Amino acid sequence: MAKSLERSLLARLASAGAIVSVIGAGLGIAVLAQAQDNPNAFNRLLKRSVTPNAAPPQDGIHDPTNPGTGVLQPPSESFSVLPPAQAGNRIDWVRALDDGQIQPWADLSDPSAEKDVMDLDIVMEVKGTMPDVVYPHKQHTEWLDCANCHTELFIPQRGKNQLSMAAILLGEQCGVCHGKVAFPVSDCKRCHSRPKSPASSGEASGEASDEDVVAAVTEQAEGAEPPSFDQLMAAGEILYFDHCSACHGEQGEGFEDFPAMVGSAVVQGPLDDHLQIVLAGVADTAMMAWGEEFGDGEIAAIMTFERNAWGNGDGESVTAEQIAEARTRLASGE
Amino acid sequence: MNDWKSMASWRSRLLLACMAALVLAAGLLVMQKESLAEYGDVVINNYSTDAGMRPVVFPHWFHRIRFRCKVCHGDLGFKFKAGGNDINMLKIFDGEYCGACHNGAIAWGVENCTLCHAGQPGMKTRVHNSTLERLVTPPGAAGQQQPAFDQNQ
Amino acid sequence: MARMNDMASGRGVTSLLAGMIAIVVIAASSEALAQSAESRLPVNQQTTEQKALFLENLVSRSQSVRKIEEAGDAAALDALAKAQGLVDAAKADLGGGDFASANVKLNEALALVTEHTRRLSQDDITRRHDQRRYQALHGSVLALRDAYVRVAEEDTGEEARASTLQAIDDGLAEGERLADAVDLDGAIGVLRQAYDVATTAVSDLREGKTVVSSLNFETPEEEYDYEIDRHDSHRYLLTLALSENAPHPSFLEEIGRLRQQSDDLRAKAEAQAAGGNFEAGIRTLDQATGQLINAIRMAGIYIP
Repeated sequence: MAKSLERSLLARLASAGAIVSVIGAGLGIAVLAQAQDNPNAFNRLLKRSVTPNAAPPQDGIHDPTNPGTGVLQPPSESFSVLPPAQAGNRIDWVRALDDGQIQPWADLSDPSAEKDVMDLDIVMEVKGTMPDVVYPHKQHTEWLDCANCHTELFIPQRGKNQLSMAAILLGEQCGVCHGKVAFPVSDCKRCHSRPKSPASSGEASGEASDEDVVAAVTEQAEGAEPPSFDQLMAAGEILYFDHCSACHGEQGEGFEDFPAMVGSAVVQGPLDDHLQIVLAGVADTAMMAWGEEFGDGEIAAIMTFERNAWGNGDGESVTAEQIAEARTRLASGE
Repeated sequence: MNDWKSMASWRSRLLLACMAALVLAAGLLVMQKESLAEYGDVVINNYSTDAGMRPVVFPHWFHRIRFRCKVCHGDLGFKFKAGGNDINMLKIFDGEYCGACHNGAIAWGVENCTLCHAGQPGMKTRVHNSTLERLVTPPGAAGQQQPAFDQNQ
Repeated sequence: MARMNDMASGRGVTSLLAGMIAIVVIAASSEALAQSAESRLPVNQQTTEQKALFLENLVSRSQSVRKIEEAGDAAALDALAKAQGLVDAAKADLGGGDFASANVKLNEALALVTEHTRRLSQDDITRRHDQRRYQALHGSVLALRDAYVRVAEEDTGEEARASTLQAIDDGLAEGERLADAVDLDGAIGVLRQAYDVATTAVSDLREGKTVVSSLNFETPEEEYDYEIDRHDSHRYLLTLALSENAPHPSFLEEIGRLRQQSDDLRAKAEAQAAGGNFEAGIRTLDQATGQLINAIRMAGIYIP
């Protein structure tokens, strides 16, 4: 009696184990199939074929036949308790330090020594549409001494350092650390974090600059009149040319796989469908979710332009309120 | 009697299926397309290959959890350059460079050769997966691996 | 009889299954046994032989030996002799195939040698470290002093406080004097104080503030050089974007076309600049960079 009970328990355990293994194998097959670009693969979310933070024996530079390699701590074990980030080690080291999750020594002989920190932001203007760079001394002096950078790498005086993105990418200047040990420049916004104000464009006076035209539809004071159709068209034309024309053509004619705007059923059709595409993008294509890059005023301008340029429409504006309302609708789950 | 026979063979079949599944899963894990060593790992091969040892792999991530940058790059004199420090075992024994901590007191001692000398034989000194490397070396060549930034995270 | 066989095989199979699951569970939990790396380090014939070779070198003809012999230190020479004996014994062990005890002897020999070479080198190394720290600190204090003078004038419109500058200068002079007298510890201590004075002075003026470094080009040629560098930067960024995002092949054609257009425009800009017309060169370069920006966006990185 007892024996058969025991057997049935074991049998259940065994079958449970079998089910788990089969599911595991199934997922493994799914990953492999996905990696081979099978369009009908189950679970397309498992797109990644890269193992981040791989353990030393599998990471490609450690020798797996070396006796010591298997003993080294796998990064994923250490990182499981640290705040994640997008690039590099995929750990937000600054946050880890500020939150106290790591307590690195500031002095070899005195573990409890505190580090002198200086809080001074340097804003560096850049030409073009990229936001200006903000260099924060605070986050850097939490890890480094003044002497580490001054004066070998940077002269502590405005205008004395010719900073160049090309040099940084090639491992000079900021690239001495960023791109090698500190976070790489894949995430532009971490440094280019101060959006430009329209006044800093430095255009000749007497002529409205592009930034001013766009600002007319984005910066709305409380109770001010909403932008006119002409203002929206003017701003939309600039924004369209800057951001959409590369794929959809300067005259809205499209290019190869990228759809044309002229005579397009979407652009001339219901506003909601057009809004859905512009705000949320289209998965698995180059059409990104512009709702995340632009505010309501800019999207309203671009859509007004698209729906009315090149003989498309009938002179009706798309307003910022409609965009805002569409965002809420989309966010609440369609 | 008939029940017993069918049950027993059912179990054997189940066992076989389990083993096959586990083997398949294990194989798939090993066969993963590309692996990414940790960002910031520095391969140091000043004299290792000449001495018949595997090159050293220095993991920045492990050390920055425990020490701020200035401790090594200021007080201990490490330059910000892979291969820019003439490190050899004798200096380490004397307590310079790595030996300042790897002396059995702060961190493990120098008798554990294979814990540091763990790189693949013959690799040259480099900062693994640095931006410079990715710009200068085309992908897939010279042991360079996947991007540091994966959008699909 | 047949029934008993069936029962036996049934039992065997289930216990095998249970055993496999148990192995998986144990393997998974073994990581939780937090032991230090070195105690878990496996030792084998090959690594021990390598270590023996290295140590033989170390105790017979390395710089460590020379250092110990030149120092003439009795304890060190004694330790060296003991280490040499240990290495010989370890080699004998290896010959007999007992690499585990060979490893223990070799580690002991290594510990003996390094303990004494470390002791003998301590002064040299400390002096070198101190020299480095002193020089770095000296450079920093000088740079901060200059910064303070400049910042005081920029931010307050007045000159830097004389008493503060005096304190810094006194610290620098005293530090230099002590360094010359080879009292580096003292020098570093004095300079640390001067450093604190200087950083406090600058921080008080600038703490929490934001300094804006605007783009001011003095000549069109300067702006042209900036634009060339900007164009180069975008070229590299495009390479990176392509390698990171691996865009769909249908985009690659268009990206190639944009890149070609950009290169053509750049050639045109360089020709304009060579002819002395920097303003036109700047405008053309701006267009060229615009094409690259479009290409980078198409490759998946969004540039505003």
